[in-house]
Amino acid sequence: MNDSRDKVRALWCRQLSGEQLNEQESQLLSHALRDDSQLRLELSDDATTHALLLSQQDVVQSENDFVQAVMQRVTTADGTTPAEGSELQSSSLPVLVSGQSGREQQNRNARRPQQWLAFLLTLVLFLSVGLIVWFQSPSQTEVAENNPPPAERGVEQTPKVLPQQDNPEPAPDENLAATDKPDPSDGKAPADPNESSPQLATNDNIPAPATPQNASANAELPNMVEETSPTVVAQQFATLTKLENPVWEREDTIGARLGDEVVRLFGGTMELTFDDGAVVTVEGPVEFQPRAVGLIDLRRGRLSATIPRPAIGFTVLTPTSEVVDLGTEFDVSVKDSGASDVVIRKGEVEVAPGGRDGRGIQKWKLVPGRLNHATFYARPDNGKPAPIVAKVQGARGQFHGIISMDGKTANFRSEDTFNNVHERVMTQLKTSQNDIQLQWQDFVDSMQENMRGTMNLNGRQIPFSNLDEVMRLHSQLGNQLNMKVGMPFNGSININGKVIQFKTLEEFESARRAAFGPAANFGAGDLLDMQRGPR
Amino acid sequence: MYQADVRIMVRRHLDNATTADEVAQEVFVQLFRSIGGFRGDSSLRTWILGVTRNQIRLYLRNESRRKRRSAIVVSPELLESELAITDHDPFSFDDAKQELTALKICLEKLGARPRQIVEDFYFNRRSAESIAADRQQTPAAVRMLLMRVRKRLGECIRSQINKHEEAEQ
Repeated sequence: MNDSRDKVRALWCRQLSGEQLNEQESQLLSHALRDDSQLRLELSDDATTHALLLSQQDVVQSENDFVQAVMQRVTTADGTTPAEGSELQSSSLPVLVSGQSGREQQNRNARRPQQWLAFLLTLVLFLSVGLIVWFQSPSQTEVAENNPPPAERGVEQTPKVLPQQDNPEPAPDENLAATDKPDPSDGKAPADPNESSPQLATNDNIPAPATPQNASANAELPNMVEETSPTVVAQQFATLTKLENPVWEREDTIGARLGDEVVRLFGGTMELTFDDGAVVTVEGPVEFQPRAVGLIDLRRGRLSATIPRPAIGFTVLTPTSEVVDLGTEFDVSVKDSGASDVVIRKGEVEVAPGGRDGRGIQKWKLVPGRLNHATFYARPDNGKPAPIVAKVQGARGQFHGIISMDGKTANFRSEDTFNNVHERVMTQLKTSQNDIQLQWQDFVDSMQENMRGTMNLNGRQIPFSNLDEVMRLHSQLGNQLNMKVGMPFNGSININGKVIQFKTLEEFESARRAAFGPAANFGAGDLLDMQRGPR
Repeated sequence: MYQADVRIMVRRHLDNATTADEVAQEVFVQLFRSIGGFRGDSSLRTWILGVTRNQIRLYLRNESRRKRRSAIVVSPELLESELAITDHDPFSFDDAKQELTALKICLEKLGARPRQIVEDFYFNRRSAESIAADRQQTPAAVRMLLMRVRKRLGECIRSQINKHEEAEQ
């Protein structure tokens, strides 16, 4: 029983987090909810807390937008504006949704301030009568229905209600009672969500979307504009300009405006044009968040950007990198782990490690034909030390890699050494985290030293002229030791003119450490242990 | 004044904020049209939530026909069975804004790690997969952890509301 409940809970959680269940899973969940009343109650509670969490920010923050959208719908759905049609109708809704109304009402209101004041007095009177008494009294309702309030009421209420958005306690009863309309469309399916944007444009009396509307009312209702217009202006700064076979959780179509919001496209392709002309194309699966004009977060998936001159400076942030356009076309991709890749196609782009502690370590310019591809490795955010690892490469074998930890950055011009050290760092992090930082500092310091010489091992001469070759040498030794347990050790290390002899494995270890210092040990473990095998 | 109640109720059934708000807006359009139908037999809130329930059901039925169910939290079949669409309010409170206030207090009481995961998932809108990658856990573990945190938050909200009611008495 408990196992099956756990299974249902897991399905429920997947569904809550936006995953689509297959037919079988969906049925299993439905049946469990239908048959198991205890589980149903538990998940119903969970759904409510989930909804509260989802609503925690947007219900409060976007209250104005919501009210505005409802008003637009009402005015356009009926084919009349409140000014042209029934002012009584429009008077009831704003109070229900905490009070806001269209521009016509505001303009009229400004022309008739004395009526506005009269409405305030009326409202105070109704508040004093009390909500419950009013609503629970059928006779009151009937009286009000038969005697609708003066037409000016719908006009007058707006200024009173607007400043009270934080205190949504106006008397809904008077407005409910004041309107008696039959329900001609009860049971009507909700309008296509895509209608909302066109509706803004099709309202003859509101020729432009919310911003101009608010601006026009600015002189008359400055408080309202201050509260509402920043929200509206800040929220939309990009337009959906292409959409092909989208598989996503949204209803947007071409022409839809997007703002600072997370967009998840599970399949298909979409093109987003920012207001400064930057064009971003994404292909599902992708998760991103346009943050502002000229700024986008790419959380996972792939993005291609084409940036015209006015939009230079366009920035893509990923969990591991920052990409600043310098007039170009480029691709960015982010894996689920957060690792990211940037490839330049045209122009020039500046790339740098991003995310936690990543800024300021290194910047590169990517240019086609030169360094043209940057890779930023994933950094687990688990509270443990995690190096910042990145590399840039060119079509002709150019390479520059960095590994940085605790402010100590090692630079690599050889990809082999970079890979070798990276592997050692990761191995060391997994096996022993206690002294990794100290070891790393010593290691980076030792890289500054000149390492040139020859190792003579069992009659074989192995020259080295830099740290890269020393690392490679160690790698080879490690492999040999793994394969040939018990092999003889006889020879010498000649480094920077100093010769150290060895005849046994123990002496070899000692010589190696003396010769190469931290570079001999970092991340490689102890060769003695390697030969002896695991303890 | 009931916009928060309606929007939260819709969000219980529709996971997508934009879609949920569209449906909630439609609820108010319907309320606007059918306001004359309210006779005061029940509380205004109950009546409004009834209209909301109908609107959710209509939306889900249409969505189900269109086979686009990714944003639906509770399956339409289940909702049709009338079992799960009750406006069951686990907090037995009649004002969603009070619940939101209680939630805010409860969020502050959470430990740093559970709070971080809630912030990442709900406020920063990161996916469970993305959080899981950072935490080196499986997405399933993150989802179950979120469920446990929600349970704790639900208990805390109840306790906050009880305190509030006791104080009022």
